[in-house]
Amino acid sequence: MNRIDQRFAALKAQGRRALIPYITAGDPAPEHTVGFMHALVRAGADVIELGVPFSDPMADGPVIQKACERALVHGVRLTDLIEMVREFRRDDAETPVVLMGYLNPVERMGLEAFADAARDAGIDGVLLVDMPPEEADLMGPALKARGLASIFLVAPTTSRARAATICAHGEGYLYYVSLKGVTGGASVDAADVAEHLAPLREMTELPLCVGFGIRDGASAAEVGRVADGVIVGSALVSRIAEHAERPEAIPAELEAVLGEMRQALDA
Amino acid sequence: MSDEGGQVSDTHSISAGLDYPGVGPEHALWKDVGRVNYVAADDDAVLEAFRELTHVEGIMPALESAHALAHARVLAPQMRPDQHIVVNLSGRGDKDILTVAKLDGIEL
Repeated sequence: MNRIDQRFAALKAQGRRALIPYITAGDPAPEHTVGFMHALVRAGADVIELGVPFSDPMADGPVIQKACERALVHGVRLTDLIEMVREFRRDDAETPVVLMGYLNPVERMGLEAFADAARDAGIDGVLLVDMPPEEADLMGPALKARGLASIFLVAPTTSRARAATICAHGEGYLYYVSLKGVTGGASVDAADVAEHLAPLREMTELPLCVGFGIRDGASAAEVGRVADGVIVGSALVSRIAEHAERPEAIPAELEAVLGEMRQALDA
Repeated sequence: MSDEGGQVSDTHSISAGLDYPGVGPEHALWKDVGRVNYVAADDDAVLEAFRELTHVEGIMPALESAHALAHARVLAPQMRPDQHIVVNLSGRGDKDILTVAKLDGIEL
């Protein structure tokens, strides 16, 4: 059983919601990323989404775009990111890690080479924002053969027919995008989310996790009442940006933001 | 156009319509199967072609189309007088006059 599935099974048994933080690897510099990941785990992360910095992150708002830019100054590559996870795994064999990014760097590395390296480093899932399920047949089998989950996004504008296709291909969890727009946008509307999750529940057994627009304990708790997990990115990445000149202060900042969400979710 | 890590490259072209790091899938296929021979033209050659057509024919080509004209000027000397070249002028150049005027130091 994949670490992601194990974690969601355990959470379900405990009646708890998943807390899924996102950070961009290499931001503000590559040597900090593994330490940040451990800080996220200390604050209660159930799954870590590690962003692959990309020059053209079309689904991301300004906060994560700038994080990509800060990382790319250091020339962070997909192979470096895989090494970061390998280093993380030396001290953490349990927390699932999902790579989130865009198709270009993966295609450039080569699908088979990427899938091998990702498995060997202890990566558990892959979310490629610009890989639609129609193209998942190119990549899905290579990932599946290595026990790597393919995770997909569903948006408020996704038709039911298309959502069914996505659910059929999805593994690990389903990432529901809570608003029309890019990451770091407006605040989430829990009632609207609940309305959109209901039909998805009928289509899939996958845990339904919600991201985009969750910025504090209150919004996390609100979404946690209707979803199986909450995903938080820009709220964390903006703290990294604020302290980019003093990276030694960042782990405590991340723990504070995420810890508040953990408490609110578990309350 | 991307680097070895798959990061999209920064681009420059004098013509806004070509200042983009990608091409459509049809072009990619035609290049791969050898159906079309793709060539490049630099800004200087493009401006020369732009000016020549404007002067000689009174037709101001778009800077995008002027790339094709620039290559026609390369090909023509290699051909026989009875052979013909067809150039598709995909757009008109009045949209580009500010770009060209700026390069010539002309205030419009």
